[in-house]
Amino acid sequence: MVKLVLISIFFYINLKASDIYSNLSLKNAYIDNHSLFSYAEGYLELEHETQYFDLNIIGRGYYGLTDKEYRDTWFERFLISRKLDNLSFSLGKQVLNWGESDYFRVVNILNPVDLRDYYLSYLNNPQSVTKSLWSLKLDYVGIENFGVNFIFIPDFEMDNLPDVYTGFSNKNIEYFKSLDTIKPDSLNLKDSSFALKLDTSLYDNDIALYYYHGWNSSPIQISKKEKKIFRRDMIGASISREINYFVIRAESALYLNDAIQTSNNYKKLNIVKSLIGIDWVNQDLSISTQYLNTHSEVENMHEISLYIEEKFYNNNLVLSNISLHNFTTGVGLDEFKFKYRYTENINFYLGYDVFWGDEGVLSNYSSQNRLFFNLEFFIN
Amino acid sequence: MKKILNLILLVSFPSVIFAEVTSAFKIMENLKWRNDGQSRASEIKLDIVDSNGNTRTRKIEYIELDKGKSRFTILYVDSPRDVRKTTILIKNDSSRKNHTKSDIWLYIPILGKTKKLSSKNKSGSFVGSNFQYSDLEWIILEDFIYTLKGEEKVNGRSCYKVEAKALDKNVIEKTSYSKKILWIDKKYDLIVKEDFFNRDGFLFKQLRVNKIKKIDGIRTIVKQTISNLINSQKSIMSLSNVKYDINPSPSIFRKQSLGERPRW
Repeated sequence: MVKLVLISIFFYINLKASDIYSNLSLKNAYIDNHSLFSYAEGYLELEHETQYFDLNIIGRGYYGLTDKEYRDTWFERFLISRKLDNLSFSLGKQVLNWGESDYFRVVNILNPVDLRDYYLSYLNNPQSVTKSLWSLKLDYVGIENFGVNFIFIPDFEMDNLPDVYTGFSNKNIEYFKSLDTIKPDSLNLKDSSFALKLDTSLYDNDIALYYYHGWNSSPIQISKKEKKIFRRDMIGASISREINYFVIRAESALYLNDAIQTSNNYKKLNIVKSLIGIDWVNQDLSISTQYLNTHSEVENMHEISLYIEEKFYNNNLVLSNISLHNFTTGVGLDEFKFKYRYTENINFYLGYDVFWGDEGVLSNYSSQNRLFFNLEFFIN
Repeated sequence: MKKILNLILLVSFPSVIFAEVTSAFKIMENLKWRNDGQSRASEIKLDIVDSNGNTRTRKIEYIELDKGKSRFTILYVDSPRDVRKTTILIKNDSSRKNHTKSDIWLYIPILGKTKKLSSKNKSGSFVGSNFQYSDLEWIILEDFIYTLKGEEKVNGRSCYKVEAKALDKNVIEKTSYSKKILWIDKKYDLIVKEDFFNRDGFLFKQLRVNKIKKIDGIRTIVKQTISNLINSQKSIMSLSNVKYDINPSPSIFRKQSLGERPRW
């Protein structure tokens, strides 16, 4: 509550000289286990331009309607940025996105994810459930089409797992959350992360190279009492290009000596992730498909995604469907969504999710098929 | 004598056509390269009116930079709020060999990512309006064959009437237009009226310029309406806060910068 008041005071003080955007969503899901999960979600954004820098602040929060313990408020972004001719910087709490893939995290691993309500939030809005970190980003644009992106991250946060109130948690998740965690200190220079990206456009190809020295934000269980956050080093590359009516995207990452969970402990090994995606757009219809392979000495996993979207009535009605399937574990999900823009300030959403399979993260949701209905209001 | 006359006609007729094509091309070149500053920016309001008269409004920020023979365009969607921050970057380089192809990138806010789009399909609706991407990009002269069809007055002003026929099937596929008729203001080098013919050769869209204003010494279209004759919808594009020669930082025209409100 104190945080909410502070955020409101901050926005009020800055109201006169800034652009303010806000919205409120009411989210309701009827879940397969005969429970109704409802909550309200708020979003407040401030854009403030000064002679020397731009300030962008986003405050977010949610409030459980079916369970009052499900509530939180936080700053998603608190960012100062400045653009000069060839150099730009942004300093503050921010989300940094890398790579060409949608949904699958291959090189896009700089920020942890917030899966407190359920995994589907990540599919619906990957940006909003990616947890921001305090960091400094420097972008240098050299000769035409060549850019260098340096990121310094002194902050650290873990991924959030589903809360018990949502119906998307289970005994295994609760047990895992209860373990003591060995993790790096936040805002400690020794435990800082850094990342470097080089990008260019060559013969109509958008090419980028990546290096990340940081942390795996997903903890690994190391004993019956403890889980631990391990260091992560990643080298990656991506390319995208237009070929006739298609855009082909590919990216690959090598995780060096990465820790993975095994049935009785953990193991450190090299992991290679490779993704290829194809996008096709024809007027208001778009189709996008991806294939991801994760390879190491202990596993060889094949996953696909398929996204289809069509817009109708001047883009006011959007029908979309996303399917994910893991051929190795046999788990997957399908989500259909109907979005209607009733006015410029009111949207509503209707849809369903269906899960299948018995292994892996998604199998935890196999009895959580749901129907959902969301209302979204924009207040300005 | 008659034979000689026929011979003269036979020889001169293709050259008359050639002259019309050449002069029409010159008119189009003048249109493309008209003096409108090295950079420009404005706020765009798009009113989309359906067949029942219901209006939906879109607000877009537009900023453009010419660098040599290249043009970089940014369109930043401000409203509707649910798609705010959606940003389109179009790069057209008239100096490169295959310059009939533009590079297009789209920033999608919910993904927090910029994706490349195929430039082979520009017939998609721009933010749900009756304008399509190909209507908004810098003219690609080589996509059409132009013929001067004479001169006509539009709103009391002298205009060239130019017919533009799609060069081949690929252009029809890309733009969805088989033919266009353009009325170009002789003095201002501006399109003031345009008829669009679909893949089957039928007139299906009409553009009419409603208001031209002199801003910073440059004649600027500040209001235009495009009407779809098939579904009886229309979209009215109004420009405000138009500025020329704003000298924006080239770094904002990078795919990495998309999603942020373009400042200069």
